[in-house]
Amino acid sequence: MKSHHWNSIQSLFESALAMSLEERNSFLNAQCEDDEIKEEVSNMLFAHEGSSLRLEQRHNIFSHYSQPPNMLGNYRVVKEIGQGGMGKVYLGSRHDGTFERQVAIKTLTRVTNTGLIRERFDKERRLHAKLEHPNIVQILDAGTSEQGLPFLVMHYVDGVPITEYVEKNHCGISQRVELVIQLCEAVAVAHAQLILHRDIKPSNILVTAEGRAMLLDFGIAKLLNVQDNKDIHTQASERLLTLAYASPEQIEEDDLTTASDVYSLGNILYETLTGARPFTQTKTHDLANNILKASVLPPTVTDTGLKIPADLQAICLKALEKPINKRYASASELAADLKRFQNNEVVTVRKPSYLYRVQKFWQRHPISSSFGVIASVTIIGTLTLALLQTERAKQQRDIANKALIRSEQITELLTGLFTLNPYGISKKQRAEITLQDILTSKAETMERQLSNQPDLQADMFETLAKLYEGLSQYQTAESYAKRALSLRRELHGDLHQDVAHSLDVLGGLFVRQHKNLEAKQVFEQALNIKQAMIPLNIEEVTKSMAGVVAVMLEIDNPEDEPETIHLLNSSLNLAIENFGSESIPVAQMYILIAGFHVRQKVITELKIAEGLGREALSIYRKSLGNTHPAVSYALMNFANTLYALDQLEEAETLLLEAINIVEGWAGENHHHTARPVHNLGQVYKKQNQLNKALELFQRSLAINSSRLPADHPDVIEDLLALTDIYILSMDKRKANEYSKRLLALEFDQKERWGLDELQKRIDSM
Amino acid sequence: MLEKQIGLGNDVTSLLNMLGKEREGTLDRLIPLIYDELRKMAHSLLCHERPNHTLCTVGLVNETYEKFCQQKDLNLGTRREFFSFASQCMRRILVDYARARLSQKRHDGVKAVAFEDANISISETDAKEIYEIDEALSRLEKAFLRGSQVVQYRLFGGLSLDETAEVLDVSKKTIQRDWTAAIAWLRKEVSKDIDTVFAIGDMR
Repeated sequence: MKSHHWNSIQSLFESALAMSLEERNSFLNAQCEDDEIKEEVSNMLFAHEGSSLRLEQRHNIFSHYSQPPNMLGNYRVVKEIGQGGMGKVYLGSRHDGTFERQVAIKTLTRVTNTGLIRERFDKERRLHAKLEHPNIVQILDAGTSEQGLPFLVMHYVDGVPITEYVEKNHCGISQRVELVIQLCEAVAVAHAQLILHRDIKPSNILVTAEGRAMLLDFGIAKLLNVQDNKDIHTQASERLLTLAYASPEQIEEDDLTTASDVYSLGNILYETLTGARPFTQTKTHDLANNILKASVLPPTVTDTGLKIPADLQAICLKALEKPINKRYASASELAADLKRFQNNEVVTVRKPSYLYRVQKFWQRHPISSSFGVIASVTIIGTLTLALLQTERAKQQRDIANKALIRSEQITELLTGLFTLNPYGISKKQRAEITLQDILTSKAETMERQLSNQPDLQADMFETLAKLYEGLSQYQTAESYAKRALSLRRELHGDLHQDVAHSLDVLGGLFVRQHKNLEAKQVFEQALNIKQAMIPLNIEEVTKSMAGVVAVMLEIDNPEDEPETIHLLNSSLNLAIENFGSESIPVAQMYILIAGFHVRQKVITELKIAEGLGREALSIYRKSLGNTHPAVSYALMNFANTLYALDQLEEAETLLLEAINIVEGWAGENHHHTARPVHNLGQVYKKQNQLNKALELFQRSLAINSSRLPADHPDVIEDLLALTDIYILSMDKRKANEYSKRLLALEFDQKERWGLDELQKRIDSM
Repeated sequence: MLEKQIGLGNDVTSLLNMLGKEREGTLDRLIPLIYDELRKMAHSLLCHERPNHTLCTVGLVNETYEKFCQQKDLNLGTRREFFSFASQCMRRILVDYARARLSQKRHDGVKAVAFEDANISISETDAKEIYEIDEALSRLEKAFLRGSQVVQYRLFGGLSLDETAEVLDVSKKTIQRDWTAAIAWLRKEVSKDIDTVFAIGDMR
């Protein structure tokens, strides 16, 4: 071997190392002119692969099959059908009573830490059980062979890799795009369940004869990361093997998010269209460097010589953007743009210039394309260009003013007048009047002033919504929240964190008005958005999950129970994993789980709830101190459990403390204060301290009826409680008085409140 | 770490100049001592019960360095120079043992090279392998000097990737690449599995 040969030997070796076993041969044939060098490199590759296998053998954790085993778990092995990066793939079958099912069995021969892997397997499999999609090959089973070799069982798919499929079938552009849309939608579904693929590449995508794209190996890349850390050799080769399809953040070994899968989908789109990967450097180092820094050449023609439209090129490039925030925010957004492309609609990736929109319009209405129309399009184009230029100058000026306007008009004028606590409520009641006045007088003026800046307007509407919420004027607040929401939807589309935030605000308002079904709906929407966000904000996701669960517990529909349990479990796990077991999100989940148990009304369940409530309260106290608003909620919820357990003295103490805290931040006469006051009344009633109870119910009613609509459920509850107290204290006249007030009210599901029975009790006095 | 231990600035040239002087003095005088120390280590490597029947050289040279620098409070020049030198020594020592073992066999019990200790347990196949590795490494040296150095430092000196990068003054990534390629090349050159002799899997 001569020294000048070494450089090419090393670079060929490294490039080949990054490829799959199948790709290597053709690559070496194409790249090596010199047979000696080729032999040198393929021997090196052989030695390299052999060594990683031998290494594992030495660790004595698995034995490598030369002959296919007869059985793997309950599956009969038919034949070997492939060799992947992780091990061999067998065709297997299993008798399920009457019919025989064909499966693919993947053995994971490169796995060294079987104990850990098995644990991971079980966890992943449970997660994956919910992952059902026509374009996802589901994992059916997992197990370990007699030799301790882990294996995965999945549906057998009779198909060919996507790149091969489009080449063999001479697919047109729209057929190719259609396949990628299927994949994007499958990935989006998985992302919604917080499952990343992590290793999307052509060999993981099989297309069936019917033209259905099937995505294999979901989440398996994650399983394989559980490696023996000491085994640097295996790890390095593992990394090299996947480099060709890696995203920039994968190369930098950052945490992977849904954005990495979006990048990989961009890769697939690129290769499916052009037959080549975006980067084709043959040296590992160059390849990695290019993925990190070089810009992607626009995919202009297909491998069959078809011209790729500019829109499609732009979509491809956006998916392959290096900074995560410049990519499509989610797989579903990518899918949506591809669909728009298919339908000749405006794709979001192109700057929506007027000219472009006009072009799109004519493409959609080809009937009108005569010479005359083309001429008019040109004129319109010129006009719009001129318009655009003035528009742009104006925009720049506006941007300069924006920050100023934001601070002056919104923050200072509205919120700056009052010191707001996290709940948007002023401490002093006197301030309410002033605030109210200002709101009504200024809101309209400001709305007018901001009409040209929808984003600022949305901010203002939201601030107003929060302020009105603070004033317990939920209907007005709701209407502002809805306006903020629709403005933001117009501005950013459905999938945007500001939209999610608006939904949260609106959901909160629904909850305050006991509009639980509506609340559930918007919280679910918010959750969906947050799950698609990049980077994933786990805290926000758990918050929304908690919101959904809280409302479901409130609705208390037996049909929702499985979903409630599922959500409770998954959000608790998320919270524990991400924030630790003594964190606020976990405490929040404890409270909700306690709420779930309290509803079972069985002593054992109540005892569980008690434990959880106590733990939650102590977490809240430890992390937030004793006077934080959240602590009062923990106190109230825990007191409910104690009430159900008849531990009334402790419940009394907790509620007194809660009232004290709430009065501190919301004032004595706020809607928020009425809640623990009413609850304390219930505790006294159960203790038969009727006078004390009466006093508290009256206080609660006084607060609520002055602030809330007459038919607000909290008002109704106060009236009911008072009627009941008067019945118990044998004051028929007073009981009748309150009962009449109730009967006079119009409200939903009146029969549910048991008014008839109440009246009967009064009549029999 | 480099600077901290020898109390010098970043000027590489002055380091080397200084080392040149050291060579004639301290280091020269120490070489027999260091060699001796390394031989003792190699000896115990070969004598002790080895869990995988492999030579675990990890940290050997490093350990020697610490011992001479700290215990004897001596300035041995740069770590770089020392690591390079010591790895070479280690290679020489092991290859000498291997040669001795092989000639022992050839001469049917007649010792060509003196074995101080009859307990030395180096199998004939291991000896053959070490001998082969040494020869292959010499061939690689001509084609790809740095690759052969990386292998020498890692295999015989037990240096980690970081330490090797420090000694050769190139990035860790480059070292990792060179190591992967060079060891793959070496693997195909020798008749037996390198991993059965050296505990490559335990290397950092």
